[in-house]
Amino acid sequence: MDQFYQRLAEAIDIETVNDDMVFEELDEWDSLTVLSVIAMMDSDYGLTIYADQLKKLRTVADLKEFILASKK
Amino acid sequence: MNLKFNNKRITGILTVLPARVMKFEDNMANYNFSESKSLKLKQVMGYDRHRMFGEHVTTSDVGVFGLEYLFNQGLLDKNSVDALLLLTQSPDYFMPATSNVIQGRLDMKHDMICMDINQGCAAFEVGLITAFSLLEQENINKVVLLNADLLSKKVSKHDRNSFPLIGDAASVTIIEKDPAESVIYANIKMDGTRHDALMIPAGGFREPASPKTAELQDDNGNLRSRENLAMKGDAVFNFVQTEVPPMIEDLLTFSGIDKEAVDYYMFHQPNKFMLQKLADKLGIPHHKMPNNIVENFGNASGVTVPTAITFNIGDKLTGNSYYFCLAGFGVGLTWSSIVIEMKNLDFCRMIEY
Repeated sequence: MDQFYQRLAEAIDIETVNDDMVFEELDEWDSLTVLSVIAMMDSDYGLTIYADQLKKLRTVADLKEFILASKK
Repeated sequence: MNLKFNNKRITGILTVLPARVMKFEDNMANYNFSESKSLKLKQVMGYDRHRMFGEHVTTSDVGVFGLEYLFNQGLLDKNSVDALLLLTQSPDYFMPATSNVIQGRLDMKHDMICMDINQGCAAFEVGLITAFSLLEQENINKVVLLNADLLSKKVSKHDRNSFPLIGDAASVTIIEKDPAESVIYANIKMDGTRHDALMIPAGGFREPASPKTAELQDDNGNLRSRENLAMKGDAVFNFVQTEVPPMIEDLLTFSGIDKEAVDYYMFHQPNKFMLQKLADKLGIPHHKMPNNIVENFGNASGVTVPTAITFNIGDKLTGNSYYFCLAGFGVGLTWSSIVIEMKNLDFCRMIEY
């Protein structure tokens, strides 16, 4: 998970991300960033996630938690 | 399902592209998104120009145009065609089959088979597999595979999810018996439980067209009606990344051909983004898997594979031999791939309509 924050920032195309960030409140958040995060989940973690599932993960911390839970 | 065909070959490919060009920016004002966001989408997905036929042009018009070109250029003998396969999702009519209409308009012989098949993104592969199967018959020596899709009319101009990438095009591929010993390997899979990933919900018998089905509805900023093409981008992306790499690995194992021995991976062209991810996942250098069709012409479903061949290496294929891995994946869902050697084609070119 070392690269998680950096890779997520790249996917959303912003400088940095932190745990408390709420996806829906970001100006950058749209269908393209959603797809970029879906692609990152696939390439970095081998996880398949759908837009509806991602919508339920409100914050960066939620997404991180989801990855850790899926990896167990 | 693994399939194997002996002594068949492709002898010519013609792509018919619309002369009318539209730029991504031309339609940007119709989207409910800021200009900067749309331009970012353009850059990431590799959108730029796309081509569409005129409003009143139909599949049979384009098919007749392409075949007449080949007859007039002396590249195809009209009387030698034993089967005309039309793979399309945009037929002229519900009935009769558009391949019959084309046969009639061209006054072709009666002693032949005309067949329409409804397939999209994998239509080139399904068409080839069907052609190879027909050629098993003693009396069938030449099959014309016509791929045509004119779906731009079915895509909402206010749908940024689909409009920037849609294109119209047609292609004519000639398939014959190979006098030399040769083997073609293929595989194909289908999953109808996910048939709603790509569909035009209304206008058929299940949901007939009505004033209500023509109303535009808002889907996360994209406006489209029930009569428009609807694509679930996340479902399609996940489907492609999950199913296509193992399909290609399986096909290569089945054929006994090394990944490196394949000269070109000519895949269906949904967008540049998805193809780059696929190439990386499969460990294939990007120059072996062209991804430039959507940015130049748009995605005309099954026609993107023959377009990728004629556009990228058309002039080389008339005098050389290459190993190809062809693949199509999408609407159905259907996914299929073929390993085939192509050499010394009689023609491999593009024309405009």
